[in-house]
Amino acid sequence: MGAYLEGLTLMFQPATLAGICLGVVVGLVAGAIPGLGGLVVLPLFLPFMHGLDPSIGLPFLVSIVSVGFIGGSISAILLNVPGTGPNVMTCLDGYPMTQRGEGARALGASRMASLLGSFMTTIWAILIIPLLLPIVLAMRSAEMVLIVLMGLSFLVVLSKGSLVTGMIGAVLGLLVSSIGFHSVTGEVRMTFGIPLLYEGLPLVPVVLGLFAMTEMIDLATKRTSIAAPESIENMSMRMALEGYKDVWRHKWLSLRSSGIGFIAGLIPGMGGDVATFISYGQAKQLSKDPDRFGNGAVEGVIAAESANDAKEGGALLTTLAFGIPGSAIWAIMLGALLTMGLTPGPRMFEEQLGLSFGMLYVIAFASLIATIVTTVAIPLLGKVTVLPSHQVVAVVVPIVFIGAYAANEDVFDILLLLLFTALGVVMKRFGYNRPAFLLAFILGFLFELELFKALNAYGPFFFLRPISFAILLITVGLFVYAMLPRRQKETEKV
Amino acid sequence: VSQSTSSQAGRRLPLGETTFLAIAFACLVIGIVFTRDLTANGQLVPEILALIGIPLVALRVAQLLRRKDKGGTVAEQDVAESASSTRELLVAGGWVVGFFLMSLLAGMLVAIPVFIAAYLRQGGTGWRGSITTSAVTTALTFAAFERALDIELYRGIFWP
Repeated sequence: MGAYLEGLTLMFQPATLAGICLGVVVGLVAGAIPGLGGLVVLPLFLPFMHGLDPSIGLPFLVSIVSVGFIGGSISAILLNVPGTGPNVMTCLDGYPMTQRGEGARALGASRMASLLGSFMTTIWAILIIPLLLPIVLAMRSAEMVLIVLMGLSFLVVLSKGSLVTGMIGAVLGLLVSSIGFHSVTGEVRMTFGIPLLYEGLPLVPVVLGLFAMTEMIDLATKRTSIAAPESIENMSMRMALEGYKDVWRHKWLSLRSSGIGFIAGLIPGMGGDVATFISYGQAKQLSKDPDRFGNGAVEGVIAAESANDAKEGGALLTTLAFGIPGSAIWAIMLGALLTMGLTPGPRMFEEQLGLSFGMLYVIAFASLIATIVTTVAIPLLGKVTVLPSHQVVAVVVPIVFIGAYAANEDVFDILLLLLFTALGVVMKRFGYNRPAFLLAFILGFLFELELFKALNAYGPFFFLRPISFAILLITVGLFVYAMLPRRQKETEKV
Repeated sequence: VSQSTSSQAGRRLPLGETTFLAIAFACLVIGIVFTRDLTANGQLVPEILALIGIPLVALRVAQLLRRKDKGGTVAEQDVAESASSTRELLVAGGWVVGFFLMSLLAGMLVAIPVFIAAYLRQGGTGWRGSITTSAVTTALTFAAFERALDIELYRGIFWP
C-alpha cells in the first residue's frame, strides 16, 4: 500500500508534472509526424538522461512513449498515414470516416478509447504486480538466460518478415554486443586494437543509426509532401465529443480490447502491431455487422486504439520486472533506465517499487493530458502532419547528429552513427528485423553474464530446471508455431 | 507490375542482399577467429552465435536461390524501380555524408545552418524560409546544447 502511495506522491511532484507535460507535447508532435514517432524521438533524449534523477527523466520519457501513439493516430485518421506502426489498424476505419466528413468524430473516439485503455492498463498492472512479484523474485540465472532467449524469440517470430531474416538480425545484434570487454573475464574481444571499442559500442549512436537516421533517409528518398493539406478541413470539437459518446456506446468492446492490449504488452517482444491486429480482429469477428469494418466503422477505431494504449502498461511491467522489453520502443526505454542508473529486473520491484508504480500512473496521467490537449488543438496538430518531408529531414538530421555526439562528446560516435545508419538502411530495405537486432544488442550483456552464472551454478543442463524448462518449451513452441504453414502464408502476404 | 520479365535480372541473386549476407557471414567468422586466443568463457558466445548464424545465412542464400528457381525472375519494372530507389537512396546518403564531412572540417555550428539552408532550398523552400529556419534552428541548438546543457559541439579540424 505504501508503494502505491509513494508512486502517487512521486507523480505529483512539480518537477515530475513538468516532465510529463513536456513529454506529452514532444510525444504528440513526434507521433503526429509520420516517420518520426517515439521510436525515433526517444533516442534523441537519451544523451541527456545520464545521471538525471529518474523521478524527472522517466516521467518525461514514459510520457513520450505512451502519447506517441496518440499523435500517430491523428495522422492515421486524417491522412491515412500511420504515424507509428501500431496505428496501421486505426487507418482502416479512421480514414474512411474522415472521407465521410467524420474525421473529428473518429479522432474523438480514438482519444477516449486511448484514455480508457491507459486507465485500464494501469489498474490491471497495479492488481497484477502483487501476484507477479513472487514469480519475479524466484527467477535465477538459469531462468533469466531462457527469458532473454524467449523475449528475442517473440520478437523474431511474431514480428513481420521471415523467420530466418529475423533470427539473423538477432544473432548479429548479439554478436555486436559482444565487442569490447567480456562482462566476467575482462578479456577484450573483436576490438581490432581500437581503444574506443574496449568498453563496447555505445547505445545512443546504435539506436539513432538503426532507427532515427534510417527513417530520415527513408523519408528523404520519398521526396513528397507528407500529406495532402485539404484533409484537415471540417474539424470541430462538437464532432470530437460525438466520438467520446461512441466509446461509451461501445464500452464493453473498449474494455475487452484494452484487456487484449495489456496481455499482448506483457508478452516480451510481441509489440504493438500484434496487439492492435488481434484486437481489431476480435472486434470484427464478434460484431453483428462485420462488413462495416474497413469502411468507416467507429468500432474499428475504438478496438485498435484501446489496445494500442493498453499494451504500454503491460510492456512497462515486463520491462521493469524482467528487464526484457515488450517492444522496440521499450528496448530504448530499457537503455534509458540503465543510463539513469536503474537496473530493471527482479530487484527493481524490491528496491524501486514506488517508482515502478509511479511510472504506471504516468501512462494514465499523460494520456489524460494528451486527450485534453488534442481535443482542444485538433486543427493545429493537423497542420504539423502536412509538413513537407524535406523540412522534417533538414531539421531532424542535425539533431540526430548532435544526439549521437553529445553523450560522449566524441566524433567517433558520429562515425558509429553513420555505420549503423548504413546497417539500418540495408536491414530495412531487405526486411531484416531491426528491433530484434537492437533488443539482442541491449540484452547481449545480460545474456552472457547470466549464461556464465547459470553454467557455473547449475552446469550445462541448467535449462532442465522446472521453470527454465517451461520457458524453453514456450520458446520451442513459438518456433513450431512460426513454422506452421498458415503462419508462413501470413508472412508471405506481409 | 509488368508481367514481362528480364532474363538477365532473373539469373542473378539480388546483389544488395547477397552482399549484406556475405558481410554478416564474414562478421560471424571474425567472431570465431578473433577470439581463438581467449579463454573458453571468452570464446563461448561468439562460437554459439557462429554455430547458429552461419547456417542461417546459408539458409537465407538458399531461400533466395529457390525463389529465383521458382520463376522468381525480376520484372523489368521492378528492376527499374529498384534502380531508381537506389539512386534516391544514394542521393539521400550523400547529403548525410556531406553533412558529416562538413561537420568534421568546419565544425557543427557551421555545418548545421549550411546543411539546413541547402537542404531546404533543394526541396523547394524559398531563400527567406530556408535562411530563417536555418538561423532559428541553429540558434535553438546553440542555446540548448552549448548554453543550457554545457555540451561543446564539435568545432572541426580548422577551429581548434
